[in-house]
Amino acid sequence: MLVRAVALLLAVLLLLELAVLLGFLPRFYVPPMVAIASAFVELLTTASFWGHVGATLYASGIGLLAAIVLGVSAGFLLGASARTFYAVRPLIEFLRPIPSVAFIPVAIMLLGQRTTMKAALVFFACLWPILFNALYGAREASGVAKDTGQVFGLTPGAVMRRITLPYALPFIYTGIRVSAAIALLVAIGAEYLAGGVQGFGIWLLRVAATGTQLDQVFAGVLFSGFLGWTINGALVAGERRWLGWQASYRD
Amino acid sequence: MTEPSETSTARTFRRVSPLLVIVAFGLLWEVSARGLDSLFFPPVSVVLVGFAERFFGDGLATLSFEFDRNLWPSMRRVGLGFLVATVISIALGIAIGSIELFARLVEPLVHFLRNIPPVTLIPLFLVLLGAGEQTIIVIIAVGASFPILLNTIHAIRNIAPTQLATAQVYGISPIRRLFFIRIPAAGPAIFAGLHIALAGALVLMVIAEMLAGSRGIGFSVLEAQRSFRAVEMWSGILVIGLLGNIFTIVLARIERRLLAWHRGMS
Repeated sequence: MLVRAVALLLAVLLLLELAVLLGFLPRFYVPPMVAIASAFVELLTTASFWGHVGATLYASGIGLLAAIVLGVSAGFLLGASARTFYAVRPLIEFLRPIPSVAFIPVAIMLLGQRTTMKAALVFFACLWPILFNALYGAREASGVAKDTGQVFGLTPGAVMRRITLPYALPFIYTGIRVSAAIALLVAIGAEYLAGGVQGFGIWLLRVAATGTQLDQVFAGVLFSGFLGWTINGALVAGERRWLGWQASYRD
Repeated sequence: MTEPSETSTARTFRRVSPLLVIVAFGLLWEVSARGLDSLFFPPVSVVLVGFAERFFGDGLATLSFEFDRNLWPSMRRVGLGFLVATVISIALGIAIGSIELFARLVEPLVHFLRNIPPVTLIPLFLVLLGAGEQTIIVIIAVGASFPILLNTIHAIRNIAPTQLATAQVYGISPIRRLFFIRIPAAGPAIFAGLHIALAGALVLMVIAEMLAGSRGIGFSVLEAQRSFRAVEMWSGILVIGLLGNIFTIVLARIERRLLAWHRGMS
């Protein structure tokens, strides 16, 4: 699939190149395909570039981890009981559509430019999908399953552990997948606005600002695509491995 | 085993408890803000007062000023970008989902492109298209397209084969099958994609405005931060939150209208 995707991408770039050669598109818009490809390879072998990427991944990783820990525990506990669920729901439904990126200026104000700021923002942004999914996932454990557990003499704690949790896990995992994408997004967005020294967003904005290194910009965009693809692929593989017992996988 | 019916105390508690939670949240904000006494973290009471003053201070005049300068540009950008994304993605999704040849040609590319975080495209588009109004709308449109596209493709493709086979047996032409069976059946999934896309559109609007805009609510929040006007910054965030909620509710209403037939069936 990936091979075909890359081949198609090259085909598209080739078409654009042709359009430029034939005079349809001004040269400015599309660097020669060869230039993009060579810039891409060059990036992969530049240590400083990986430094930038690493800084972004590090900040997003910390934030995401913290969000998972807090989101799963809070969401799960709140969702396991019907009363807390209904109490908390309107507040969460109001806070949910607020784009976390709106808080970037706040984070900059309160925490400056450092990794802490990025990680805190990522944490806040990723908390909601995970919390939300854990909340609704815990609700999904149907009354019948829980009642059956109770009939068989399980304590409420055991019911939570052995029935509600497995039911909720697929939802939680979906929330984590969504959050992983958000984490990267928010970290890069924060880097655009806050500046700083190390970060993929900082590097990209700087390169774009020169206006003359378009091939590097394209290469950077392609790289981010590969990065996202890899992360998503890893998560999907993980899902298959740990949550393969789900009914949806059996067919 | 059925649940015993709700007692009236339980019912009252269920109605009142969300309000209690919200009040508790407000109190938490107020107390911690006053405790920390930071310039950048005003208590909720101050923010609410600032919000009221900013929008209603001088009556209708301030409201229309704020609207023209900040609210309407943002709403316009999101609205147009989202609309463009919806139309193009649904059309493309239907094409890819129903025409196998086209799908084989284009789909691998789609699946690669969707992994690009939309924020990464912002500097690219800024260089290619400059820092204008259209650029922001394009950024929002492109970023919002993928959830809609993917959901549409999946839904058009995965329609229950029995339905299609039945239609075929009754001699319904492929075109009519497409329009009267496959597309309506894809409705719920498409709207799920629309909700996701809306959230993404809002995110992109805020970032794009902060980076490249000269008006708009996102821009005003950043501007306020840079001028250390904390209350203005927070009231701007409140507005963004309200906008997000309003758009979401509007979308949900449209969904309820268009998919009314579906709810009856499940």
